[in-house]
Amino acid sequence: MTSKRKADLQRKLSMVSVPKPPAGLADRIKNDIPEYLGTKRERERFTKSIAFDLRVAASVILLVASTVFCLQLFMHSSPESAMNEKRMAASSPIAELARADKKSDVLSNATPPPLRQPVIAPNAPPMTREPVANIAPPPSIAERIVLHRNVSETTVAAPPPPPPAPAESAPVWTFADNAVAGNAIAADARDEKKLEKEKDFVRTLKANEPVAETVVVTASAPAVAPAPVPLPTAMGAMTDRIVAAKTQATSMEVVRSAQAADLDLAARDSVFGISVNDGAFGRVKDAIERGERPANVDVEGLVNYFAGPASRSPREVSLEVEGSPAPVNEGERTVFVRYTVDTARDEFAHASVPPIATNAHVEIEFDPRAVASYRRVGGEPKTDLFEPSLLKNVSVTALYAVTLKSNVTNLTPLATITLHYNSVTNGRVRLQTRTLRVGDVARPWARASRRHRLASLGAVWGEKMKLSSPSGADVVRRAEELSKQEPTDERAKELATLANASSR
Amino acid sequence: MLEAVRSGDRAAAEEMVERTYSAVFASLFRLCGDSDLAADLTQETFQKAWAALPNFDGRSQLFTWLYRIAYTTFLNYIRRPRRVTSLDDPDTPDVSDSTPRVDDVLADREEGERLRAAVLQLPEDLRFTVTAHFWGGLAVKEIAEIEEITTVAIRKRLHKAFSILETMLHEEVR
Repeated sequence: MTSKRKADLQRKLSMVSVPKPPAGLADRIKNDIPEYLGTKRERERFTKSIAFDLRVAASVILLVASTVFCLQLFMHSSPESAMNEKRMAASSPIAELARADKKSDVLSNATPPPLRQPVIAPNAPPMTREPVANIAPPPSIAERIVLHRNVSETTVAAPPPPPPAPAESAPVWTFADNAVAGNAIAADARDEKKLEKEKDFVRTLKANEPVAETVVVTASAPAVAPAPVPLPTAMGAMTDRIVAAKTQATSMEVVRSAQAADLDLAARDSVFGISVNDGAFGRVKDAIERGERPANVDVEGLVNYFAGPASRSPREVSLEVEGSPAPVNEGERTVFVRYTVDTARDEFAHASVPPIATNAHVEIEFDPRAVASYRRVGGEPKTDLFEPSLLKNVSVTALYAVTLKSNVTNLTPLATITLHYNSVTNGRVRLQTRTLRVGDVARPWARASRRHRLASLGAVWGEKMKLSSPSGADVVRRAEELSKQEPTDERAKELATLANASSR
Repeated sequence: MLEAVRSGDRAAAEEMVERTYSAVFASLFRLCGDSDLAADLTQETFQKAWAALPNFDGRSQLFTWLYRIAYTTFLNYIRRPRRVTSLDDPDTPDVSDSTPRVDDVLADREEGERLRAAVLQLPEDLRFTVTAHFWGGLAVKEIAEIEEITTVAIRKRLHKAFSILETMLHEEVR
């Protein structure tokens, strides 16, 4: 750069003419002078400090509460608690029965648990224990008999007596949902010795019917067995045991599903108002595989599915901006501008994902010198998006279809994307700005990053699905090219397969 | 005067406004290129200045401090989300006076506008240095104090900014 040019530039910069301030500006400014110049700020600072203390106190409470919650969750799933559960289950014939109810291999040779449990039903009248017969039957065999009455054991069956049938066939009396277990038992019943033992035990039961009356109607199952009416036969008592075991198993399932529901709180369908619903792709895929046209296609969800997570985790929050021509109909002046916000990954955040930023704003501003029109693909045409709390493990992508004006130079700015947020790590305000120029979107689509190609092609395909029109040969061709170029990318493969299937 | 303002003297505050508002307005006009907008931003600058007055330590000159607030206000404005994006061409400036020739005035304004746009596209550190020096009228030493770097570094920044501006303007003309 010559000194002459430098001087010329300095002259131009210095010689910018300035008009006089508008009349009344000084008065407007003077009217804004606060009444208490010196103290107002102090008062505000004092208020802020109290607010700050309150926020700290609230954070501490929140932290303690979440720690307790996490500990509880952790204890539920820890090996120790699993051991406890096993120990309890091993000592309880009801739980054993419940397990047996769910498994098919009930005929294990494990050490038999004690048959009887103390009565804990609150409404049940006190019952005297009859002396148990001198033969203590092996409980596993007893359970087998209760669960799967074989034809040969009709002596203990409840009235009306079942018709005789061969031992190999289906049991005469069995629980409908124990068909698998029943088959396993029926197969085992071929063992002659076992059959003999079972017969002996059944005879014993018949001779000592009151034994059954001491068996539990568990207190944990009031809804299923509200009135603990003692059944007079061994069959009735065994039925109670089975019902109780089933109830216990059901309540365990309820607890497990409740825990799963808690864990699902972390999964969110939208970030910055942009759909990141993973189910969007699944629904479209299912519909196409069924040979139907998918309805209510969530194009933005598809864009986010295909964009996927970042290849490398950012330290905190990153803003990725990229542009390219449209993947199809390249002759037109439509380009795709994409921005993706990725947050740091936390592999250990299972139950509750911690936030990484608060008050996150992402704004995109298109330059009217270059842009004739624009729209957000699959979403509302908003240019400023807000998220009060940005969690870890988040990747959110927005895609804009932009029509360029003619005769714009490569240096002309096309769009400026700004991300600003409060860092949770140190409380500072972070600002990231990316400017995309016309030249940045001029390179061929095939030279764009894999993430951008997948997101933009997925968007075009998704929009065609939304309009219930076939994919089109150009989309299929692009998808197949992409799949060949990225042979290890499952998403590229899926896109090629589904675009092909939906082109017909 | 500053101490009087801090102690709550309204008359001193009004005098401070009288002395500084036109320079603040001029800086903001050069930054944004719009008279009405510059006036609004000037008003906003002073509102922020009143709120920040207790924190002003007096180490820099009053106008240097005000310029820094004005510059931040301008940056906030251009980063502020806009609900409606106008994609029309910017309005043609109204030229009521016919001497000198309308074409010349328009050409000058267009050139000035190009220069302004180019300056605003500079990286943040260079942009602040150029605008503070040429449009805010701050001396190199004052800018160095604000930026907490040496005057040599400021001069290097200016040199780098000139090179980039030269390239950008040359590219646009081509």
